[in-house]
Amino acid sequence: MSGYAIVDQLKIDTHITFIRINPTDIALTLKEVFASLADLAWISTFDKQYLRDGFSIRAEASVAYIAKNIIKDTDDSITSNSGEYVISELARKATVDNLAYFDIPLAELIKIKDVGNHGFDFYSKNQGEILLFGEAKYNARDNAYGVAFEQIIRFEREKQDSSDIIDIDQFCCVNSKNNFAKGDKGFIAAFASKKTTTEKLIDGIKKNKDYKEAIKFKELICVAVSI
Amino acid sequence: MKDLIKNIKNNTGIPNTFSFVMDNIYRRGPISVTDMEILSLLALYCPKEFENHKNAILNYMAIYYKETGKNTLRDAVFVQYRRYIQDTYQKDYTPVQADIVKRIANNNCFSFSAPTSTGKSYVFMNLIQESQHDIVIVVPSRALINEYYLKLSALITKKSVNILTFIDKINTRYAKRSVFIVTPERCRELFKQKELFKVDMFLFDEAQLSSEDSKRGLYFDSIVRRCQKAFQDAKFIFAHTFVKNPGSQIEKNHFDATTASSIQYTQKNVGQLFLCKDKAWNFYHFGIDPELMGKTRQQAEFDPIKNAIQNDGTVLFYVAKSKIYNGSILTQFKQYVDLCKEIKGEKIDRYIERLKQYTGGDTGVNQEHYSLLLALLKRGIVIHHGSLPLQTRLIIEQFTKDGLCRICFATSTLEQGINMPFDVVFLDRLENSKPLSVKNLIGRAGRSSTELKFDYGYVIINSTSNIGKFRKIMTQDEELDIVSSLEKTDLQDDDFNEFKDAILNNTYSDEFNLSEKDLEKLSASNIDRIISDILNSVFTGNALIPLSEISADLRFRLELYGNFRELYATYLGRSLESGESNVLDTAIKIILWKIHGKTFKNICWYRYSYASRSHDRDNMEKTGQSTNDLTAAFFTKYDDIPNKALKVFSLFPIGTKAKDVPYDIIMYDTYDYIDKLIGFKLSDVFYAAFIKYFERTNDERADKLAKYVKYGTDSVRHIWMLRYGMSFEDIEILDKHIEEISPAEIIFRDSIADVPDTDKSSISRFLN
Repeated sequence: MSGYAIVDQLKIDTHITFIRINPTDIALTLKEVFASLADLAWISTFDKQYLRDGFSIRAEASVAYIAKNIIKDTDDSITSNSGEYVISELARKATVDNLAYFDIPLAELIKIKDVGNHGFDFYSKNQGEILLFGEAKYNARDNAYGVAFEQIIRFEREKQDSSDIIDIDQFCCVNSKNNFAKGDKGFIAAFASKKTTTEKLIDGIKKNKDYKEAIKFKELICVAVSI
Repeated sequence: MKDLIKNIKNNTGIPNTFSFVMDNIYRRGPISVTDMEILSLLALYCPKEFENHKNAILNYMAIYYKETGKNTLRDAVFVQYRRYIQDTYQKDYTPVQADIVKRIANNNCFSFSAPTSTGKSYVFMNLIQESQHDIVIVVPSRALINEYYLKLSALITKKSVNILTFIDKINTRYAKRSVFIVTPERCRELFKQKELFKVDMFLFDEAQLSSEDSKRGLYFDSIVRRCQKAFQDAKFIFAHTFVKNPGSQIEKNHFDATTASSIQYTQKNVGQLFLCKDKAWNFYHFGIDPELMGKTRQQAEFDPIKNAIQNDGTVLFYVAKSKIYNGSILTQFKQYVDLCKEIKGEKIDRYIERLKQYTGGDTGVNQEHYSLLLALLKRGIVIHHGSLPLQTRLIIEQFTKDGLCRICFATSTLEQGINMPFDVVFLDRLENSKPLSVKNLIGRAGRSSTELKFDYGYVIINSTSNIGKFRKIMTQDEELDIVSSLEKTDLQDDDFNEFKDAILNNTYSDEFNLSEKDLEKLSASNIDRIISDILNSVFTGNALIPLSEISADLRFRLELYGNFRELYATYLGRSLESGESNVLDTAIKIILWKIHGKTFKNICWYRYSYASRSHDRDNMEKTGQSTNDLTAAFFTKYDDIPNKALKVFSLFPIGTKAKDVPYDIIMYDTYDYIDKLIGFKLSDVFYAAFIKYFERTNDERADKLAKYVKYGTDSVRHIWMLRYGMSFEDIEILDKHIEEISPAEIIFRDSIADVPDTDKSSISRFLN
């Protein structure tokens, strides 16, 4: 189960792809992320009995509760944090499944990000061995692409991509790192989209000043998640 | 990552540092000293940024006694686990606490080690409360007995539960079960009456303190094994701090490994910062891991000790006993002592009054029995060491727990006493020989609270040159021997080997706390003449000879001491050296005072008066003479006997002025005699000798004297009162309100209702 369905997939330019997806089971996606996060936490090794007997049933309930809040557009911190995970994970999966790009786990599963100054949310590598840095944005009320592009441009300017490479080093081949060193890199903007049509959404994206700057990179993927 | 101390202080790379340390804690738990150190530095130097991460950090540490929120999915992972623990155990346990409960439930024997602030006593208290039958808690010292006693008495209010510090079957009309808190020595009483008890659980707390290569270690193992044999259905729990191999208890005492479990918990609940100071009292940060924290020390532009004292915090100074005795702590730490002004109020006055009553000391500098201990206490300065009388120690420990202590000067015996944390721990000494004690003291730095904040404390070492040594202590955990001394074949001294043989061959007498060989020596008819002489000296008819008669006749007194010496020499199987004789004579003098009902305070006064030549000084002052040239009397200091090499020497060096004799030192010395020599050694020997003589001759005076030596009284009624946990001070107040006392119950007179609660706290559980 992928947990999503492709609604639209089109090329804005030769190196720019737009994908729109519908989550089919937010709770499922969330549960996968939640289970992966729990797996990494020390308590899972410390208390194996909990993982065996107590985790699943409770996770089901926690996740169902959060998923319901995401759908209801509740705007509290746990909902928005979880919403961002859902966007990241679905965008990551869509890129890996549909473009056959390299599968790298969510950044959060590799290293904790610092609140307020975190790195990218997910990563991938295309078949031309170009590294892609993904930024996901969830907003309970608005289309969130503006914030996603703004962050991509700012992070790139602040060389956050360079410092993230240290964390994902184990997933990067030599060629991809060489390409990165030459400035050959790409970005993925993943964002919550509301009921706006794809056409209007793309029009809006094209007018965005940060998007206009982002198109200079080797590859740009926009993933709209209809939440 | 490197130079973290410097970088955090300079506000460099803070986001990455948070990311680094939080990732570590999320994945590995709060197990690394260095991670906790980094968090403490961040909390100190980057409080604003810390606030943003605080909730997540506290969640990842899983310290569930703090009410954290849930802002992220990662938080949810830990909050969900908290709910699981709450649902399973109905308590806000931390993962470690929950694990302790689980392993106790799943095993017949569970041995673990955990850092000081783990909260294991909260778990134990709950288990004790929920138990259906008897519980035996074995602790290494009487100070710890009292700590448990107070906690349990407050927790278990049901009068159907006896909480006793001796093994005894009392209050049987009302009590359905008993919780015994005993030392290994007192635990032996259990075996004489084992069919009377159904023990659910034996809890050996602070077991690392009893695991030593000495007679105590040997005795401890023997008690463990005998408990195992006598109560096969009971559970056995061993709790340690900072021990790498708690499983050694299982191995060395041959518990069934298939139903036993052991673990060393390293999860910490509080952070610590490490500093050293230079001669000018500048403070410098240093890290335990120099690769990560930085290889050069970094100056801290503040004084953590001063800050703690001025902000109602508490500071522990770990010092040598000699510095307490000679008063040099007051000059060395003057700037901090001066910060402590006299505390006013009824609460502190009550403590001081209780101590005055017990010790006989006074707080006025010009008073005869001026006690520095009491005078300092008025300023919130506590002194704590092994020669502090137990009763004093208990009052001081309550004083500290009551929040009145600002500074505590302590020796390593603190680990067997005040079980409380401090904001700052200053180590004036670092002994390689006592790594466990030092670690225990270090573990006291940082008070865990239920407040929604990251708790941390300071550990400060006395010199910049001790950093390497300190790091070594911090990074090495102690390993306990996996072979019991009972099985070791290496030969120690005769006394030890004889004791070991007696334990192994089951010939050690629980009744007398002596080996069969010792008992034989004390039962032989060749000592009849000595005992008869002693009885003739101490009694006229069936009554004790008044003390004044003994004191008035020097020759008579010397003869009496001589007889006791002869008796002790028979027990030793050799004659006494003069150093030993001096110590024994002083002990006998104290025993006689006790037999005649003299209180601790009285005995201290007599000894002080003698040493400081108070009568001579009085007379000289009356006639207008200066007492400046009058020197202190020769005063035999307590020392452990038997010891052939013991020299004859005075506690006060030649030339000490009589008026300068410190009252406190006399008090400490008197307690050492009463506790370490009379209580632990001589009373068993003399009790056995007199009782055996009584059995042979039916001379009732011998039975009487034996009881005096053992209980301090020969009254059956009073002995029962003692068995119900009353002290002599309590008996003095409560005797007249008791109609009848028996193993079944205490029947009180109606007048008991008029006795103030503080005076009847010892018997409140027996009031029905």
